[in-house]
This record gives sequence, structure tokens and C-alpha cells, in this order.
Amino acid sequence: MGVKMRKLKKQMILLGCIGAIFVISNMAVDGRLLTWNNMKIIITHAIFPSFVSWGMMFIFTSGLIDLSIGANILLSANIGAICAMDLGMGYFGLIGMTLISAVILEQLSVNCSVNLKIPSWISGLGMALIFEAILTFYSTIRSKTEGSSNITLVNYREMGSMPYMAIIWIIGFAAAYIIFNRSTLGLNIRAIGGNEGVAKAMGINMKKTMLSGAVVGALFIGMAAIIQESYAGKLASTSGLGSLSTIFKSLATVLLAQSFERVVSMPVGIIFSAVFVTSLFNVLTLIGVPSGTGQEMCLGAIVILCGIISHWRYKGVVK
Amino acid sequence: MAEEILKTENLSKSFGATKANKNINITIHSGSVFGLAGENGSGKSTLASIICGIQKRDGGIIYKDGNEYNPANLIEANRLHVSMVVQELGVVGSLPPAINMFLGRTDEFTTGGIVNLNKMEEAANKQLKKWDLGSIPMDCMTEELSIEQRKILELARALSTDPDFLVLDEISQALSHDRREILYRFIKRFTKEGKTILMVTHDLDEMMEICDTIAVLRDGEMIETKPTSEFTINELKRKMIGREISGEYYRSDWKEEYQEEVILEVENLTVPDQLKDISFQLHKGEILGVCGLSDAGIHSLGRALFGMSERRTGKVCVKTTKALLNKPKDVIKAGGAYLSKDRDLDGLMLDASLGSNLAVPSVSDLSGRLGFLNPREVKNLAEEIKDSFEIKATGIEHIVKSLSGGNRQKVNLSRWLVKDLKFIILDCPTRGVDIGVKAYIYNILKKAKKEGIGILLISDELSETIGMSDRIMIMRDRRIAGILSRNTDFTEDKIIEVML
Repeated sequence: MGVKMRKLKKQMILLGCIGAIFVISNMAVDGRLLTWNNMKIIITHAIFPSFVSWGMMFIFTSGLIDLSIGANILLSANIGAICAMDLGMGYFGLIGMTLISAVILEQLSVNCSVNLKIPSWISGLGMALIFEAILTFYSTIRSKTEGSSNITLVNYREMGSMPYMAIIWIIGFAAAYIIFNRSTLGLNIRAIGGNEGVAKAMGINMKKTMLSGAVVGALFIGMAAIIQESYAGKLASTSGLGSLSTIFKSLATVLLAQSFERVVSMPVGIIFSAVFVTSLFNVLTLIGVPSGTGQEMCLGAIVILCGIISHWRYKGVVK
Repeated sequence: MAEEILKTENLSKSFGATKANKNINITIHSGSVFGLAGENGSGKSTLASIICGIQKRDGGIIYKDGNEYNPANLIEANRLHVSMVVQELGVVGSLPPAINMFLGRTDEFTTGGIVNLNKMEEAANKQLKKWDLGSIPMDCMTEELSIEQRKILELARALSTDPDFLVLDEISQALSHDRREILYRFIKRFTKEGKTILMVTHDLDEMMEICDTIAVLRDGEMIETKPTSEFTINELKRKMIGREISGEYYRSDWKEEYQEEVILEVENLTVPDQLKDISFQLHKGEILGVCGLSDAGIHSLGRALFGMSERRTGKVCVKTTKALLNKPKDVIKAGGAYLSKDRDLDGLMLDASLGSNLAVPSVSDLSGRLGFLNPREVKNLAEEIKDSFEIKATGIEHIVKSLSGGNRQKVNLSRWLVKDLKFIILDCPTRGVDIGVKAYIYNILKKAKKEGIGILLISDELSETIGMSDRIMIMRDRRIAGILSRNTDFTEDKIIEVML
């Protein structure tokens, strides 16, 4: 059997498995899963983790494990909302300033790791604490002056509703796919992640590639922030690394997509995984698992499960 | 006389206190194959790396085509038509082969920011076809290719930069008999076009056969450079080592000799797409050689016997105890060991110390009742192995990555041989090691045979299997094509006839 046929067979098996899980889950919840309205809810909730995961894909693939992404989302979304509402900049403020903020914050985090030669997860955690503190500081002042600690996006919320969200999702997927699989930057990021020594010897500028990857990743993270701000209306500040919980679903999505990498490329795998992870939560809600601790416990288990699946056939010590 | 293409004057390079190259003067002419001979650690790879811009020289001058030549890196060297296939550089496994071939130059296939992968695949296939290097599947990830295919890919990658000076550092050692023939054909064609090859190889027969001129390096110094026709192989060995090689190299007897007792029994071993219906017995004190062309399945056999293959069927057991060997831990528990062909990837912990690498297989033996290790016992064991196997290192704290290829292989082999072994599976144990270490390894194998250890010797080198084995199992199309006895059938022609 040719390599292409083998891959196609694996893709068919994967699709079959996902389909079977959906059918079984649907039966378990008395047919409430595969209804049009419920599927619409699932897709709506899968869009935010998809964008965050695409962002993570560009950053994590080159070996940078940035854990400040959650705090980045919260801070840049609030900056965008302030520009849109308080400064009267409208959509330009919401979109432009959120994206710019996300890129600047990501660059701060990544540069801190690359230039100061600190392991990226350490600099990421440090930056997460700083970003959270800035937002908390602002919220405290705002609660004293405005009476409410968080800014609410009253207008300009179309990007958080259907069908705009779905359109943005499709455009986001196309962009992620093309940049990751069909651009020099994407291929260089993958080369660095695959074998740093070879990438260096082949003349790839490591630092430039990693920082450029972080810019692209930040744009996806910024889009995620815009969508979530538009959908929810406000994103509350957190402290003590509470922002990490914002990206847990996306982390599960990335890990699951990694396990599918030999069957489908990462950007496609992220779509499947985001829908799959969101559906799991939907099913948990439908069968009555409490939305607080119960679902969070399941989320933790899912992240670990995805980690196990992503390294299923890895013959070595996973660090 | 052809024109001078490359010339070095007093080239020097040091790594700390170690002088890797001392005032090297060489002159290489266009259209020739220039061989660099020397033991592991003699400075061959350093010299080759400096020429290709991978390492910076400390002193001296290099001229190429009469002009001073000073590349900052491999890419700049490529621009000046110098390219290299490095001994241990490798490829990016998580990218397709075509991308690996043009990595760092993907802009050549980019229109409007989008890389045209079809065009890239076409160019990659064209490159392979142009030099008649055989085909490589392009619609998979490079990690799915065999070591040989990856090496050919690296060669094609080097050729895609259009070099007129090509450095081949230990490339043939990764190739099987048929792919070596492809390589030799390529070398002839390349030099016929007036282009030049600098070849580093430990296979002295190959060097004598292919090279026009040979330069011998020892301890970083140039010992002698002269036309190959003026060297004899013994003289070459003597110049490399600095003394006569004492003792035998291969076995001197021509008799199939081992004990009746069967140690390892294999019945109908099958791995989909890799092995079909393999059955044989390995006796106590026997060296059973395994050889075959590329894709014959010889390397898959080693992995399958050690329990590393997925979807394996059939039976592998210890004859006396009937213990089934399904997983690596079963093999180790039964007194078995396995040395993979890819020493650095599957065998060693490159970033760990020599001591840690040497002690790893014996950790369970050294553990106390509560599972704790006595650091002194671990240290003593590591030092004992280091001394008795003459591993050249500053101490047991020496990081394995910085050892020479030959010493790395000594580490890989010795740590198993100090255990109470019943059998060992060796996949290309002398790959990438010089004749001094080779002779040493062969002597160890002879000693192990005398002690009654059963040895399965998988090798791409026919001379090695002929020289060392009691029987040779020849594989073709993933099956056993025949088993020949040392008593009667050991000729290269006869083996190749069965291989084909």
C-alpha cells in the first residue's frame, strides 16, 4: 500500500472514530447532542480555542512554551475594549489595538526568553504574573472611579455572533494552514522545532524565525481575544496565574492535534480537536456534570489524556 | 595535471587544549577524489568542517580556485560551490523529504509568499534522477525513511547547491551493498565532470579503490600525502595508527564452530511490511552474520528480535527456559542485549556523562533491596569499564557527546559486555569507527564467542560478516534467502548471488 493510501486510510479511520464517538455520545444524552441548535453552540464555543491553539502552534512548534498566553488574551482584550468604548475608537480600537497589544505582549514574553536565555516556560509564567497584575491594578482603579472593575463592550460585538464568528473561523483556518504548511516562515519554524542543529546549518536565522513565529502566533491570540471579548462582552481580571485556566481547553486542543499530526496536519487537527474537546464539555453538561469543579476535573483529566495520546508511540522519555 | 581547486596553508584549529589540526597543508586538484585517512579523533572531520564553513579556523589560509576562501558558514560555502554531507548532521524528521532537501532555500519555490510544494517535490525528484541516486518517497515525513534513504537525501541536498567541491564524511558506512554501488557510480560521474570530492572514510579498501590521492592525519598532524597507487593498505594502516597493528583483524580460522546448545530460537517471525516468516536458531558461542541489500529487512530483524517492532507475530524464545521474548525487558532479563545501527539516536544518552551511560544497563543489578544505588559502586563499575575497554575520555564525568565516534561505540558495546550475557544482537557495530577500534571490537567479539555468548551480527559490510561469522544468514525481500556455512560457502560472489 502506498504512503498516500496509508495516510488516507488513517484519515478515514480517524473520521470514523470521531463519528462513532459522536453517535454513541448522542445516544447517551437521548439525542440532544446532534441537534442543529446544539451543534451551533458547540461550533461557537470551539472558535475561541481554535484561534488560541493556532497561535500556540506557531509559538510552541519552535520550542517556546509560553504560558503567558492566557494573561495576554485578558490584557489585550481589555485594552481593545477600552480603546473601542472609552476612547471612542470603535472597531479600529477593538481590532487594531487588541492585535497590536497581543503582539507587543507576546514579543515581551518571547524576547525575555530568547534574549535573556531564560527557559520560555519560566519567562512565560513571570510575564503572566506581570500582565495579570497590570490588569488587576487597572480594574481596582476602575472600580473606584467607574463603579465597575471591568469594562463592558456594549457595542461593536458582531464578531462574537454568528455567522461572523464562523466566517472569521474559516478565514483563520485558511491563514493558519497556508502560513504553517506553505510559507517559508512556517517551514522554518517546523525545521527549528524538528532539529535545531540542522535548521541552523541550513542557514535559518533562528532568533528571527522564532520572533516572527511569535508575531504570527500573537495575531491569532489577538483574534481569539477579540472574539471572546465580543462574545462575552467582558473579560474579568484574574490574579495568581488564574489566567492559565483561560488556555487549558486550547492546550488540550493542541495536544490532541499533535497526536493526529501523522494523519492530518496541525491546523486541520486543531479544528477537529477544538470541536471534539468542546463537544466533550457539551456532553458533560448534557449528562449533568456540574459546570464548576466537576467539569474542571474532567478538563484536567482530558488534558492529561490528550498528553498521553500525543506521545502514544514516542519511544523515549517525555520531558 | 589538472588545476588546483583547493589549497590549505598552515591550517590550524584548537578546541581548548586539544589541537585538532596543526599546520595542515594540502593541495587538491579538480576532477579528483582526495581521501582523508586517520583514526577517530585524528582531525579529519574538523578539517572537512573548516573547509565547509561549519567550524572557524584559528590560523592558516584556504584558497579555492586560486582565491582566498573564508566562508562564514555552510550556506556561504554553498554559494562558493562547496558542499558537504556530514557524518552526523541529519535531517528534520518532522518535515517531508523535499522540504529537507531545500531547507533554508524555500524562497526559491515561493510565489506571493506561498511555497509551491509540488514544484519542490519535482525539483527534489529531478535532483535524485539527475545523479541517478535512486528514488525516495516524497509523500511522507522524513522520519519514516530508512537511515540509508536519509543519507541519500542528505547527499541530494548537498548536490542541489550545485557544488564543484563536495565533502563526503563517512557517508558509505550508513549504506548497504547496493546503495554503495550507487554512491560509487555517482562519484565516478561527478569527478568525470571535472568536479572534486574530499572523502573521509574508515573503510580503507573503499578508500584505496576510489581515491586518487590519500592524505593521512594523525593526532591533528598531516603525516603523509601521496597518490593512492603509491600506498599499500598495510602502509596506510601503519601511518594512521603510528605503529604496526598487532594481532588478527578478522577471524583466522575458516571453520563453523560453536556449541550444540541453542540459545535463541526464532519461529515464523513476521512484522508487516518489514519481515516475513523468519525462522532460525542461534547457538551458544556462535556468530551468526546477517546481510542483505537495502530494504531486505536486516535492520528490522534486530529491532523485532529486541521487541521494538509493533504488530510482531511469531515466536522468539530462549530455547532452554522457553521464556518468550516479546519486549526489550524480556530480552534483557533473559541475558540478551541489542545495539542499534543508529548509535546516537537509539543507543546513547549523548548529553549525559560517560559514567551514567556506562552504568545504565546495570542499574537494576546495582540497586539495593530498597531500590537505592550506591554511588561508589556505580562509579567503580563505570571506571572499571572505561579502563578495561580503553575508552579515551578525561574521566567518567566526560560528556558522551564530545567523545569520538569510535569511543562512543566502545561505550555502547562495553556496558553490555560486562553483564552476564547469553546473547547479543549487534546491528552494524563498527559503523563509523576507525580500523584501530574496529580491530578492538572484533577482538572483543572473538572473546565473547569463546565465552559462549551467541552473537547475531547484522552488517552492511560483507567483509565483516565473512570475516567474523560462523554462518551467514542472507535476507532478500524481507525473508531468509539462504544460510551459508563458514566451512564451505564464504565467498563474496556466492553471497551476492544469494542476495540478488
